[in-house]
Amino acid sequence: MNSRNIPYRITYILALFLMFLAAVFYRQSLLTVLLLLLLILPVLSLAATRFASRRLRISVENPHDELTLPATLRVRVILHNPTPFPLLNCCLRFTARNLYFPPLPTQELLIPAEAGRRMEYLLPFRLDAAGMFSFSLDEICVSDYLHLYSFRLKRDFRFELPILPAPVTLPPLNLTKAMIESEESVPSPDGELTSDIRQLRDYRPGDRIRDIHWKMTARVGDVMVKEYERAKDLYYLLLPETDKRSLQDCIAYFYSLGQWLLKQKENYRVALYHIEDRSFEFLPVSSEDELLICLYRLYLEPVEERSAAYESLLNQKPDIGGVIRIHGAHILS
Amino acid sequence: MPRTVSIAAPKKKKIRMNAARRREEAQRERELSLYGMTLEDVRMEPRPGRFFLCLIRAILIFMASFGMMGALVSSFKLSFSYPVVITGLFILSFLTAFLYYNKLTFYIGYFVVFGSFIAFSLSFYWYINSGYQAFMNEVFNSYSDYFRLLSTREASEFITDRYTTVTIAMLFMGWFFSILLNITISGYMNLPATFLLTFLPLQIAFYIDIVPPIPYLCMLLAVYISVAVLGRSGHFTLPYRRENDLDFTRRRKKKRHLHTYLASSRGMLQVAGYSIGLSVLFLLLAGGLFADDLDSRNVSNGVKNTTDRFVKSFVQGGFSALFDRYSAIGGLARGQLGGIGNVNPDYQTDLYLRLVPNNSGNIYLKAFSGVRYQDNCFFEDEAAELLNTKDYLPRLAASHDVQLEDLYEDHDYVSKIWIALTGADSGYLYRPYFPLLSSKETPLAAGGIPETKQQKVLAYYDSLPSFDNEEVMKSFGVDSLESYEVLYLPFEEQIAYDPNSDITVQYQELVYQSCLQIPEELKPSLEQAAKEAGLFEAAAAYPSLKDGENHPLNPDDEASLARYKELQSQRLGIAARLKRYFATEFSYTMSPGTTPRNEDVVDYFLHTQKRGYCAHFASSSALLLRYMGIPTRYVEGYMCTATDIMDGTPVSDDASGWQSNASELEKSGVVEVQLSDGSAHAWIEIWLDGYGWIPYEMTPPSDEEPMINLDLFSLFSGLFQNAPRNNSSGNGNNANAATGTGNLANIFGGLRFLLRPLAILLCALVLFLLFFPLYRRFTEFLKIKNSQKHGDYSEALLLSYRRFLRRLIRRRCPELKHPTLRDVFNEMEKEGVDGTPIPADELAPLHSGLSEAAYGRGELSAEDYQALRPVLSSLNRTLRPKKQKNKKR
Repeated sequence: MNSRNIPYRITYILALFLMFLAAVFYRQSLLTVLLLLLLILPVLSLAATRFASRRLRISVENPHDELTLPATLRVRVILHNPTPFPLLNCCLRFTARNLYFPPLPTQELLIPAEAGRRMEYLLPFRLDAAGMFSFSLDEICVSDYLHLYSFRLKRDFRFELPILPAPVTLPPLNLTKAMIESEESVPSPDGELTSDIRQLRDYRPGDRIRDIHWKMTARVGDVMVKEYERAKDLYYLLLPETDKRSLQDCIAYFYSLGQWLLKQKENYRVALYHIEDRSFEFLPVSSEDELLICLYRLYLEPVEERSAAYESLLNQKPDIGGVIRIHGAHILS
Repeated sequence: MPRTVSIAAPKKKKIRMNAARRREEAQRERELSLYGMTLEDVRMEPRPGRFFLCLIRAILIFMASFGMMGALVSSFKLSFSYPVVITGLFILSFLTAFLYYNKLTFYIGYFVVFGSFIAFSLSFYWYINSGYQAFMNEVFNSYSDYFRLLSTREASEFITDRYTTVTIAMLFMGWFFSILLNITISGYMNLPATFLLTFLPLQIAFYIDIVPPIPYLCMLLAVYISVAVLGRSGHFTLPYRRENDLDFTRRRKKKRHLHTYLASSRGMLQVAGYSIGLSVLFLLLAGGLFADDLDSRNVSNGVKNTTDRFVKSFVQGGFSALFDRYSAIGGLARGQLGGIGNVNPDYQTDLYLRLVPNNSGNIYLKAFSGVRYQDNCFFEDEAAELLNTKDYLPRLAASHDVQLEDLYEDHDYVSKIWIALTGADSGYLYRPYFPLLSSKETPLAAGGIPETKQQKVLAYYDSLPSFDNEEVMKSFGVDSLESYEVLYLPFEEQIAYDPNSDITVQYQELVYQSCLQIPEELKPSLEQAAKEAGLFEAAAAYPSLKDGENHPLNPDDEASLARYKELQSQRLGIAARLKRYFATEFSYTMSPGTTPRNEDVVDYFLHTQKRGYCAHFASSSALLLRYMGIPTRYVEGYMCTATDIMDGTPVSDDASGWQSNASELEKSGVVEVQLSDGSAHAWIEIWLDGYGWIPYEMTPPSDEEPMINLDLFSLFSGLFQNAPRNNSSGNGNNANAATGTGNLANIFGGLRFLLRPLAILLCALVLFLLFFPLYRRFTEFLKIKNSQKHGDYSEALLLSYRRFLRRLIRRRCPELKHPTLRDVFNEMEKEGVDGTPIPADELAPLHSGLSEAAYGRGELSAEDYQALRPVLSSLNRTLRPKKQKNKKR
């Protein structure tokens, strides 16, 4: 039961009562007719609304794959009411949030779906922070013309959209490399492989297609993937220290530094810190796509009040050497 | 230690924004910092046109105004020009609805519309009034038929071409209503207000079971349905209110934000179309209910009967009749005066008389006699009762044990009158007697009391057994009937001023003691009226008589008899002079208007009102004659005129047993006369020493009730006026009405009624301007306290800052319209608030605190607030005017 209908129901009952009193006491024929009309109107209203709401079509369009700050995301909500009855009281409930931030209060869009017409509504989200934008539309509540009853239509429109930080100007850098394991599949700057295959294993989601051992796959019948021996080597290792105070600066500098390194044709690693188990994942980056993957992975990680990533890394790998720490707007090497 | 705030101050907006918009933008900035995103103004594509939105509203307004006016006028069978009214009202509705097209049309357009409306009203003043009067006359006729009233109010129509006047009046009223409907429909889509505006006037027709033509009802019903549906949807907002071309309104609450689409033009059109279709279909299907068997007169209930009473009062007495302080439906008033604006008899039979007509003229049926006058009322007190026990009416010899046969033996002429009460107050005994003087006779010329006009009421009998018969009762249409018989002598047998030896000295002393009473505060007023009426000159015609001379009458003494005869002549002469004065200077009306509560009815009648009905004349003359030293009492009862007797129904040809030796008028037999409450009357009785009470008629003749002065424009002004509308000065319009045009001076003179409402509006405006700053300051104070109470210190600090900023802009930097925090603090660092620069270090904590409060993610703590508030207060104090500071010092 929708609580918003209660005042309207009370009003309706009151009107009905007053009209009844007037019809009884004044015995005016028109009042009797109006009383009858008042009794019939809800039935007509509910029937027409039910008929139209079952045929109501709705879709949500997001024209972007990703956005770079400063940005405005224009989400398009399309309502199509093919019936001859207009639905004036459609209430769309949706939520939106940047995963780094608390969600926006539930937004309700009270819009009409005019009869026989496709109506487009534009929801412009002004975005001020990098992160993963999430949008979900869960429910449409269609009230009848007199607001006596609401038909709830469950819908599930969701999408996520990464918001990239705006590029920043980097300060003069004096970077050092760290000693970390290398992955043979990653070509060295001269394009040669540096290690042999250690073993073959079953395919796991996320494995690169070029690592698939096609012959063995054809022979066994399952997809088999080559796993290489790893060797330690010197790489630039970027460690984004994300904390709540300087999160946005950290992301911006990390992304700009990553792009700068790619421009310098440097392969580097990104150390992703998992807060839950205080472990690290070293992601190799040799292209813009891989940098974006690192960024998206970063977006999905929770953020500490004060980052303990560097201390954990030193504890786990005391001999790792030069780590490029990105702490807010500061790049420490 | 100054704190640093990382969030930058808000950017200065290029476009000029109103306060609501600025608040919205500030809120969005806050959302950006809290959530990393904000939802900007939601838009619709493609956007609906404003023209279309206004057009739909115009159609709705036209349907409402034309539906209502057409239904009302057609219900009373008045014809009008359909093309002119339809075209005119549609254009007017169109123009009115397009006032909301944008801000310019809204603010300028209303002036144009009101100006045109007033110009139209002045140009067609008499046509509009005549159309209104024609309509009201038809309404009066219909209501008189419905209530079976015998009398009908009628307004004089200045211009008699009803087709033209009704058409123009419809345009005028339609325009008036379209302006109001534009507010209720275009502005608020409010069903109750629209319903009241359009449906209440139709009650005039519905109340008496007139069903207006179906097409008009369809229009109204369609409007009601449309307004109800659109009003609830919320998609009807006026285009002009759409700030910066907004398509949606945004309402923020803590847990949800509601964005409502403003105007769905196509949806509105579709709803209006369905409403029209539905109302047409429904009224056609339900048409069978408009049948005659719903005639409300056949069913009775308390509510309808109560409203019937008011409606009848209104129909008969107009608007002011609703404000009568007590019932005004005719019958006896029992001495109550002044509280009735209009006497509205229901003309239902109160009394039945059966008598044998003779040539005696009118018959008074005396019931109430008031002696003491106080607070607009004559009281029938103890003295009055004592006086009534031995009522020395002309040769009265009342006795309950006198037998008819005895009378036949003792007197030459004896008649019998049978009286039956139906609606009359049964608490009184109605005693018949004849007036002493007809209106045409002059007592001075007659030289005393005319012989042939005196009579005696001899005995009152209980009702005869035959009238207890059930069939007889039914023939009167009542369940119970109180009746009795009275024997009286229709003709005087002896000399008129023959002394009445039955009058005792004690009785006469009681008369002088009680029937000369006048409230002290009324004496100056009565003296002035007596001078104006020339009563002192009339008294001076008998110089030998001295005031207050009261000697016992000695019937055997010739000198004493002569003196009493002169005294009688003096008193009758004064009464006759007063009667002439009333006849020439005063007018009779059944609708004199209510006496103001703080006024005495006699004083008001004699000096201000100068118009009234019998009770006004009788009460005023009683007090005036008392002032002249003549014992007088105020009497109420019924008057049976010769016309009533002529219109009576013969019930028996045999007059035997009804009279003895009296001359029967043209052998008419026994006649039954019905007296309604309209026959109730008030007169006075004058005391003549040695003779007794003489009934005297003071009310001037009222052969015809003057036409009522119905003025449409004064209908509205009446709400603001204390004085009754039907005063004598209101008749001035009729002079110009004859020409049908009038002149501009008179028209503006007629608009004088607007002065008071304008003065009230002006006073209200001045009061508003005076108290608004105080009100604003008080509400701000409350808001700050409320924020503190709820721990919202950021809001409290910002509210204090807003007040400081307003004062700073007004006193120091009026060029800054919407300064940012940075602008304000830069200004203060340069010139301070009183011209002295303030070091940046001192201002830094306040600056950072305000920034945190406005744009920070968290809330200010109580400590921060307590630290910053005094700084802001001290800055605020320095902005106060110097004069005020000097005073304090």
